[in-house]
Amino acid sequence: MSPAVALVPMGQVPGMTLKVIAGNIAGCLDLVVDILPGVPLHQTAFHPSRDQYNAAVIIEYLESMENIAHGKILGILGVDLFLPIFTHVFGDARMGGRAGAMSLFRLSRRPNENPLKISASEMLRPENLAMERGAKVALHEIGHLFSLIHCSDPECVMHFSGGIDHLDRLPLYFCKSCLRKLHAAFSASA
Amino acid sequence: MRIMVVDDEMIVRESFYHWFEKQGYSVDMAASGQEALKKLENAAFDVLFADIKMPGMSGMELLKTVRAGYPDVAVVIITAYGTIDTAVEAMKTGAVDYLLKPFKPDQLTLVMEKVQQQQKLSLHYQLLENQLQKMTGSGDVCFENIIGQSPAMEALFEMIPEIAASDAPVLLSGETGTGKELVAKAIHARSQRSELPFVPINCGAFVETLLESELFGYQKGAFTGAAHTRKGLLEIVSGGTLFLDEIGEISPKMQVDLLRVLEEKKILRVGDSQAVDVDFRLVSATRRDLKTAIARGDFRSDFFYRINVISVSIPPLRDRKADIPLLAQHFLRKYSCETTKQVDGISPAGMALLNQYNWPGNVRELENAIERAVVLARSPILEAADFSFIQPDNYNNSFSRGTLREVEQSHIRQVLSQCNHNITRAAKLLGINRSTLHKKIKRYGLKG
Repeated sequence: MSPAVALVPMGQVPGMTLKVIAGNIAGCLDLVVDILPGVPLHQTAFHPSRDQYNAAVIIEYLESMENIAHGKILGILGVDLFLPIFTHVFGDARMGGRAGAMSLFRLSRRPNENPLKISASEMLRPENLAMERGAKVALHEIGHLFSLIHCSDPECVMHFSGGIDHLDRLPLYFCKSCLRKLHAAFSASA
Repeated sequence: MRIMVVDDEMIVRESFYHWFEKQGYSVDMAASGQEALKKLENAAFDVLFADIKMPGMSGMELLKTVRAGYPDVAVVIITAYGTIDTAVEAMKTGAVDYLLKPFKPDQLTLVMEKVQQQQKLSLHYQLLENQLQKMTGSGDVCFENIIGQSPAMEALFEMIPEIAASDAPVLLSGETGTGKELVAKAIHARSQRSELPFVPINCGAFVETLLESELFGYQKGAFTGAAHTRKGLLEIVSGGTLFLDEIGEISPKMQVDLLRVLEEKKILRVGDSQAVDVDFRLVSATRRDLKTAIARGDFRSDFFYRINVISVSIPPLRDRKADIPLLAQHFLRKYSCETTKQVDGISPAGMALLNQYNWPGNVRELENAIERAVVLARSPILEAADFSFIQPDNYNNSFSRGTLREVEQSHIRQVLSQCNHNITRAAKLLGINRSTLHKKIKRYGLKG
């Protein structure tokens, strides 16, 4: 199995955002990143009463995709994701797992802005800030796929961020300690 | 930190599991209250996240059982059907927090920070409690911070509770540094007034007028600079114990004033005409021989007999040398903790030196000596050389007469005796190498 990363757009996702995310993962981690053809939204993950998609179900679906040879898969969605205990998540990935998922849904808005008041076209607008936030979430989830836990250093992209304002304070890079662990994980999986 | 998630829904347990795993915590899961209790019997957990609605044992029942059986385990209640009543009930029963599903991811982070903070405080409290227990424990060697196992100190330990039970004035006599204030504090701590203030004042540190205003207080305008009315210590003590140290130093006028206070239990602030009722227990202390002072006319006999209803004499350290190793070890622990220097003990030669010295400054001098030695120590064991600043009295005698040869012979004999004829230790203490010491032993015929 190749140690490369596959980005899988699910549903409607701006192409420019995908390219920025791919570029950041490749640049930060020196990994091969491929953007795969998009797949439709996995409707069994949809929760009608919450009007959101269950990230855990999306991850299970991505892990079951046998036609992908890449070592790690990151599903990228434009819809809002949740986990049963949480109101929402920017992304989710199992520790040391093969697949993770992330959402661009809440990344276009300003801190404390109600996402329900933003139109669908606005939400998908490939603004620079939203793309930067997307790249941070992607790097964070890739870190979990390579077994990194949340970092206590606020100057590391693996530091936990619960809200958009927290996310904006995070840098677009890993601290030295996390980077060392990542490289050890790459060597082990090569 | 070890966490257990108790919820009958697997997707909820797994959501928690994966999130805590990413935080780096060790997580276990249980599908029911009964399963959680079984796991608690076999392993230690720091936090329990328990759902309220579960078949069999509810989250609230589990909370009650855990609080009763495992009080150190923090419990966070989680529910999808929250009401204010259940939240209030959970918090009253002892839950650390209450989470309504679904919650924002950062809420869980805040809850964990709160749990960690509480556990840190609880640990800190336990450490302090242990420390307090050690200090005030009913062991043979420590009584209300006073350390000693000599017969003289044991007699004092027996006497303190009896003295504390009465309300009569106490006069403590003893040389400087013997721990008179510690004894006064112990009497206060064991008395019925222990919840009220213990107010110490060193009478020798104030001139008469200043001592008067300190003790009696003053009315606004009583003298130049009295801009506000101020209560004196005799009022501030309000029901507690007043400790007058160096009572032998107070002026005859102040003796008369205090005698009146002790008899009438009333005071007049300086510059005031309205008497104020006061209530306190008096413990006084002196290093002077007050009977001699009375004979010389320096101290009033009526005041002496009023403050000396119970007389306690605290022995000097030279009369309770059995306590020196214990006190030395106590101060060693204290100062190695305070200075964070790893000093674990005192060598036999070092201890012999401490035992030989007469300690004119008593326990205070011993404490200062240990502190100085710890601060300057270069190894984990304090050697005799670390106490080179102490000059035992018999050393002075040996150095005071005789030829250089005689002095050297006597000094080497003493050091050898201190070190039980251990040549290496004696040579180190003398600052010479082993072969030189062997030559000198042979020359002076000092073989043990």
